[in-house]
Amino acid sequence: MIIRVGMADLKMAEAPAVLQTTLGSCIGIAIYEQPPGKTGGLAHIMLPVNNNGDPNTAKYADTAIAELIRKMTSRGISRSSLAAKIAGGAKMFDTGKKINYLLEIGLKNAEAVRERLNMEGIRLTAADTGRNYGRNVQFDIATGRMTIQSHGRETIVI
Amino acid sequence: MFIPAITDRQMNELRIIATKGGENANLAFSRWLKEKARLEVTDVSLIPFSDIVKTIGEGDKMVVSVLLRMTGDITGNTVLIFSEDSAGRLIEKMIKKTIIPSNPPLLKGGRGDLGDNGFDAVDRSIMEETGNIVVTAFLNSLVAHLDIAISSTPPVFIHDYAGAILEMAVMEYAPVADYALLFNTEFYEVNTKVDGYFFILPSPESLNILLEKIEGREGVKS
Repeated sequence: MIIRVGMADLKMAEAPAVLQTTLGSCIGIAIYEQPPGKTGGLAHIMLPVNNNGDPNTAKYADTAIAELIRKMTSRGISRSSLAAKIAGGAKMFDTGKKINYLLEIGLKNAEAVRERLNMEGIRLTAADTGRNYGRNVQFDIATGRMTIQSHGRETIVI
Repeated sequence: MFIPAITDRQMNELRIIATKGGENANLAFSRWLKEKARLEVTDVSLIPFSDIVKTIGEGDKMVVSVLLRMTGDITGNTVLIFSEDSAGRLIEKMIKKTIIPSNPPLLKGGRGDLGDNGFDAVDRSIMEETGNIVVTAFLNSLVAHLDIAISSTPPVFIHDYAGAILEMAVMEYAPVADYALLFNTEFYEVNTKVDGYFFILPSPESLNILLEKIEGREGVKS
């Protein structure tokens, strides 16, 4: 079963579910147990920090990561067994001169996610960020594998 | 969540103006295609970011898009999105040639090896020009009906996932908004529905200016 995660959205599921999202400059953050267990989650964040206490926690790296941890531990999963994989953070317009106003958002998002995971003590086991193309991401909870497709490129599994 | 306050009356005015913009864009599009086409603004609505992708189907669908940025009194992004097939037919019509499928195998050194698999430099510029013509005609109509100045940046071609493209188009408004104002549009060439979508995404500040101008317009009428 494939469960779709939209922009500024966060979903939890149980194996054998696969969590899917499509990313440009945003970051997909998958959280799972290591070794892989029954439960996992995927957030699609748009911005680094939730400064104004926006209740839409899934939109920001800091509050989305906190929410993913809370949802895992509230299911009785030990915090020390949590691990994360991330993808996205592209410079969607890295095509030259025409439009450059959005180039840095992806980079900042990726940095913020890494910092936050580190701060929360969550191991980042794999990442595929940057570059200049969109990513179609599928996270398989049962195996903890993240499959990343991009147009005209070979599919990678992290 | 930041939900912009738009009254029903303002929304109706927006729909009227959008319909006129659509008519103007339709004329320009038909002239460009050299045949009678139809481009209709089907709806104007506020849509939460999380639902934008659903308006065109699934986010993991590969699409061909042209993005232009609005500058002037109204800033924001405009995005024209076509399915690969529709874009291919449009290009074929314009230059009477067959398009190489966009999926690999990629022909080394040949057509399709020019930066974007399946769409070469000529194809890309045809799509960019299509975007330019449609968007400029729509914006000219807005300028004529509201007392504002808008221009647009050169068009940029992007061939990628629908979700990644739309995400990028709303991304810069994410710090101050959760909703985008969408002008949803349908295209037809002769009687065939083109799998195409036209999004106009004014920035949140511009949305206020647009609403003020609409109020002003109502004032003049009464």
